Amino acid sequence: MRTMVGSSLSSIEQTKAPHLWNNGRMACPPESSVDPSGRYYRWCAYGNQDGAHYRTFEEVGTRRDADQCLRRALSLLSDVRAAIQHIRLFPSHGYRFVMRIDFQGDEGKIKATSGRVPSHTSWWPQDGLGPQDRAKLFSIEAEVP
Amino acid sequence: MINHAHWTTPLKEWSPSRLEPLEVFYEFDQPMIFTTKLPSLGLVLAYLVEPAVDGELGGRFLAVPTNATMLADLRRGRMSVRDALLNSWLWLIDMDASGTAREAWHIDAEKLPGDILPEPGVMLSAELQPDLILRYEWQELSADGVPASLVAHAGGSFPQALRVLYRHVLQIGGSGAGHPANWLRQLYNIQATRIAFSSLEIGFVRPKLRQGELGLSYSDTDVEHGKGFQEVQEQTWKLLGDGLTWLTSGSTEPPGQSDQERIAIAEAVLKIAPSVRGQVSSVSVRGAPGSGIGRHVVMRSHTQTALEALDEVRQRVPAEYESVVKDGRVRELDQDLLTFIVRPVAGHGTDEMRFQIVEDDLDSFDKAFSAFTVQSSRVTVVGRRPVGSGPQTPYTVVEFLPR
Repeated sequence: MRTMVGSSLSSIEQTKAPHLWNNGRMACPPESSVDPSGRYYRWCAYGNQDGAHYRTFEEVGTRRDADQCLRRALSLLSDVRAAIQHIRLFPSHGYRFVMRIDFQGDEGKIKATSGRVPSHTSWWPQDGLGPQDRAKLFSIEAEVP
Repeated sequence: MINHAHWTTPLKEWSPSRLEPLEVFYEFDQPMIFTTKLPSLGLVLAYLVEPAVDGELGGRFLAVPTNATMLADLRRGRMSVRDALLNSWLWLIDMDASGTAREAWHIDAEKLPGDILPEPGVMLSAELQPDLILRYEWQELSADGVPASLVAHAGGSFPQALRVLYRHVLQIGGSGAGHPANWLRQLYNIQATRIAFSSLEIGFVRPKLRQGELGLSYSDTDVEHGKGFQEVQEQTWKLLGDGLTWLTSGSTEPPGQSDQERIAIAEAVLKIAPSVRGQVSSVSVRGAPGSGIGRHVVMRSHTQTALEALDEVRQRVPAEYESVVKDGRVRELDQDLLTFIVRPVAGHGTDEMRFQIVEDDLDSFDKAFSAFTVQSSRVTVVGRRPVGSGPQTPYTVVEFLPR
């Protein structure tokens, strides 16, 4: 089994600790979410593994009026072209690097939450997988000049 | 934070109002490109130029007046987001986390920093993005428009480059004259999805065909070496990307595994390159991610170097074609075979000579051809055919000139 740096994921799996939160009337992550697998993308400014970029809105303390379940998720894209497109579409936001994550299945739950970006996916990180641990799961896919 | 003091002036008549999205075009954690109606500005397209701190809702938006035509062009990938934003006068609007537009400014478009706008040619989504964009710079830039001759050249150069490479990859011999098979034409005669005239820019998309859609002739007989459509397309575009990398590197030897391949690659990319003495000073080529093309700026100096390199390679291989120049009169064109006969003018020999037109060149020859045949004027035709062709093999027309 892969070792999660700095996380207590192994113990979570051993005890089968639930990572479902109660969001009032609905479960969170949604029951329709699945174990993550495959490659997904996110962008960042410097291509490093700074955990600050991998915090959920809930962890940052913003978007208090938003859907409380989505506040606990990180946005990813399943299509690298869409990630590059985003950087080129919003150059003033300061992102230069497309970061990739190859999910093994034990990092939480994901669900396609496509809206206007078809490959948009929400990732609810596993309990105990903090921002810094999440950052270490990402590596540089591409630098967009 | 964007310092906008030197390119904006406050909008004095502004009163705070809700920035309610009507149609969202791009959304990632919040609407980032959308239409909204503002009391004093009407229907606008809003673009998130600076997100709020820590991913809070709101931020700083550019807003531009919009209309149904512009929005349809955006949706269909006919207009880039940057072109949409530069379409009219602009405002800068600050929206707070509650969705209220608190402050607004006029923007002096001439002083607007270009790097806060989307990159040129970037569409709303990756699906709308052309696989390749050609952007032309020419010497005598005119506010009145783009030279029509340049539009014709720009639109035709890329399909011509692809035609050269597809013929090489598929090992199709001969001169290419006459009617090409439909499946081959489908491969290289690709669609231009967007033409922007601010500086001439043309976007092309690869045909999204599966092998079965190309027709029986392709899958059953014409490609006996069994290459699938996808493989052929990938290989061809990769060769084009390799060629463009070589072209702009200034190195002398074209890439390729054989001299024939080096010649095909060099000939193909030279179709795209600016001519040494023409009006185009440079051509920017931008391939979509994964297209195998990359980004290149081809200058005239590159063309000169590449022509010399191509000539060197050609010196190494036996002549592939024999050329001919023939004067005479032309009566009619065989529409089925695209052939015609040049007959000598009285007192200037007796030999007739048969020529054939490449179908894709028919449009450019057609008007001249009609004029000469109607008037039975004297013409000079330059042609070529593969070395070793039989005497009945027509020459392929390279030039068709009045005398």
